[in-house]
Amino acid sequence: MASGELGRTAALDGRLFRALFIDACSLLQRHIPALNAINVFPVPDGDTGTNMHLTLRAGIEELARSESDGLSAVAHGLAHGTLMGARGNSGVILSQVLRGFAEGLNGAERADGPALARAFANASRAAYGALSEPIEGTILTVARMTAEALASRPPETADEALAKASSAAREAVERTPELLPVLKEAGVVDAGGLGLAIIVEGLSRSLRGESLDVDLAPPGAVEAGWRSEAASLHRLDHGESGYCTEFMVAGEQLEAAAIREHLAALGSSLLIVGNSKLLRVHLHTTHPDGALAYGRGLGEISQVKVDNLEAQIRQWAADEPAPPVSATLDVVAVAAGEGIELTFRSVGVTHLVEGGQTMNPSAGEILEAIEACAANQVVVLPNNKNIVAAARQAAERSSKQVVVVPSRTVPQGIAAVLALSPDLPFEATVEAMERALTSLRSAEVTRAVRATTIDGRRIGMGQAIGIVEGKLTVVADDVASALRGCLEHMLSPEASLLTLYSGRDVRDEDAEALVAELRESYPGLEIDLVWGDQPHYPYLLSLE
Amino acid sequence: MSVFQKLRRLISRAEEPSEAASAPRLVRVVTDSTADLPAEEAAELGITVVPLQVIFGEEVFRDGVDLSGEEFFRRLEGAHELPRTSQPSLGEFQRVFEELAQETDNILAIHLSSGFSGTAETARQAAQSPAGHCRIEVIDSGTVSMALGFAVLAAARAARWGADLDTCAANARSVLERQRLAVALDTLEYLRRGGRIGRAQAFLGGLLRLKPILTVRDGGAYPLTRVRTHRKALDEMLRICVEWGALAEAAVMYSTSIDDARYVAAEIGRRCPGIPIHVGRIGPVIGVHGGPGLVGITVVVAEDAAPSPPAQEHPA
Repeated sequence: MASGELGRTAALDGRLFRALFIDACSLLQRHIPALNAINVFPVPDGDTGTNMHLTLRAGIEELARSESDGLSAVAHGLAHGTLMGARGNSGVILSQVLRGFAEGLNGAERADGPALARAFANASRAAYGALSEPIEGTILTVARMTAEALASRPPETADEALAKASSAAREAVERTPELLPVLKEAGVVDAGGLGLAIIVEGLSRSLRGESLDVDLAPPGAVEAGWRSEAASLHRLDHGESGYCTEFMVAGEQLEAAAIREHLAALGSSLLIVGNSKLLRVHLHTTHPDGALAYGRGLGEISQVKVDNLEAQIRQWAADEPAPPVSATLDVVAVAAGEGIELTFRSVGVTHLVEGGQTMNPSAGEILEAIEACAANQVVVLPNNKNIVAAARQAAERSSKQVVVVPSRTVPQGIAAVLALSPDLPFEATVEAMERALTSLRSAEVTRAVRATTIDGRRIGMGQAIGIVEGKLTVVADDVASALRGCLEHMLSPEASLLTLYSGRDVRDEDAEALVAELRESYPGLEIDLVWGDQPHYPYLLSLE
Repeated sequence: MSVFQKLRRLISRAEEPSEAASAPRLVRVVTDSTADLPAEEAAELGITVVPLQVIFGEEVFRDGVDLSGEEFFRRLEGAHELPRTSQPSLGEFQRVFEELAQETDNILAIHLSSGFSGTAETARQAAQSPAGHCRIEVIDSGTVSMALGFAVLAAARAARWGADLDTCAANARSVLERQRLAVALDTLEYLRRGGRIGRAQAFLGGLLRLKPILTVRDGGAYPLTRVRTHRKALDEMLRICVEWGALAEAAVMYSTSIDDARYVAAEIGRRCPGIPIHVGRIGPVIGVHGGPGLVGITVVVAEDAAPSPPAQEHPA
């Protein structure tokens, strides 16, 4: 800690100035994870804390190299170091703030209250001057409101001035969500602004000899930052299996870096925020017990939450259907099964008509869906060869511009939707979707409901059959064998991805076990298991 | 086309260098490390490359100076926490401009899209501070990697022949208007971890494993299409590339898979015979979001080929 000078300090000299900033830098360092967590503006890349700290540290390192103890020289040395070491937007602005601050102290040997008020005023001006389009609700606002608080009636002493600056900065931080909607939306305060407030508070605390072992991040803000970051970790976790594991751990001297290293080995999507006494952990792992046991070894754990990841992702997809890919084009798809519907919606299908092999929807039902579309241009995906004709009929009867892209299977329909481009003209999009139909091979596995003969092959009741590209190809005693038979038939040297859609009557663990076996048999294939929930067909599969 | 013919074509709008007694000092061209220019070529043309910074934890590297592309991706794949990248500091730009001002009266700085980084803005700030009599023009390229690199090369070649600052800038802008870029990502992991999904969210979200093809438009990343396998992504990118029209030159950029880059380069060569094709590694600034397995194509459309991109030809 810097100050042995308890009580009132009237003015700062160069040595004291240096010591205060060293303490402010260490206070900032404590808050790196919290600042990173709430960083949503200008881009939510979670590096504001890191950048501000590295920038200020570069200034401190410059001070360590310099010989002079004169106040003006020290302030300029600090500013120069941060200028050369500035990282990221927040770092660049911080370096400008410190440059302005130093210029406000030009030639001074000691800084009392009024001198600090001038320095803060100059810092604010420099920060605004550095940006072509200053935006309020950021570090700029904090610099300005701090300067304004001191401008009207500056306190006499340095000590009182820093205390006043510090509380003004904290107040300004609280106001940032009102000024910048993106902050309000995320429920956070501005990370760069908070970083500056922490630095000012560090100066003040250091001068007064107060503890630097404090957590200045508003707990609610960190919580909100945590939520939005944790949510973003789930946005695209398709194909991930295992458990989303969360807990809080309270202890002494918790070392986030070491804990991060250990937990990272247990899974993915690791997120740790907090301080040396309380950490919050988020992890996707197939061994939640291992992660929790490790947590218990660190201290007392609470708020434990373990969720099946796949179920969580399904829930997310159901709660938040993807916004349309194209503003001018809607897609109607015929589908059966909650999982198939979700999958279609997640890639950009806007309207669904229930139906499939055993339940063909009428042209009227399809027409109703077409008319319900907001867009005037509509693509219809029948996803079954027996529904193509009804879809065409519906298309003809609609007053909209409707094209049927004749997908004969669900995987073909999926491939067609993926080929949607956000800004291609209608004809080109339709062409791309039609081209996509032939980009994969698809098959269906089901059970014969009665004994029959198809294409000259006798099938006993309850036997499993595999239909490849609409043609009966495999007859086997069980579903897994029929599936393997189809796969053998479809394999080609170019194939690299197998997608399995598991049906309504298939248990998750059985599907996972089957996939594990297939992975062993076909090490060269990537296998994606998707919960389809389709009736009658234990598995739909596609190979591409 | 010989190198000479090419150079002449590039400076068609430039004054021929005069042998007059008062030989003006040549324009100097500045860019940043995200242009992914081969070091030898940059050195040969006297281009100053200002490095961005790559930060792993508390370790700070200068892109391309004390961290090679190869080393970057090796570290990236093993990193628990995503590295950060950061623009060059204002001080660094001031130093570069001051040093160059000793040798020239005109500096042209061309930088990566301001949609990705504050680099161009910082260069602009540095250009305002007095560097004597020196005129400094800063161009925000709106793009990155060799799409930026081609513009820098065009400007530097013109400068080498004695073109003035406006002509060098016009050459660069002409290339920027004719550049196209497509990048195929092999994984969304890094984009997601970096929080940069942005407007591609709707396009990339979903319950399926997707491999998106993105372009850079209006200064930011923009989805073109998406497929589900790596091979399809490469082939789709080639199809898009051919649709761009007659090409003047092309570059294939990769993060970790040089074999893919060679395949793509060979295919471009087969479809557009005779054009120069450069193969190189993409830098950390894009690489940190694109991740391993990324392959990209950047091209410059031939000047006589109708250059407007398809989306503008037929408004949707």
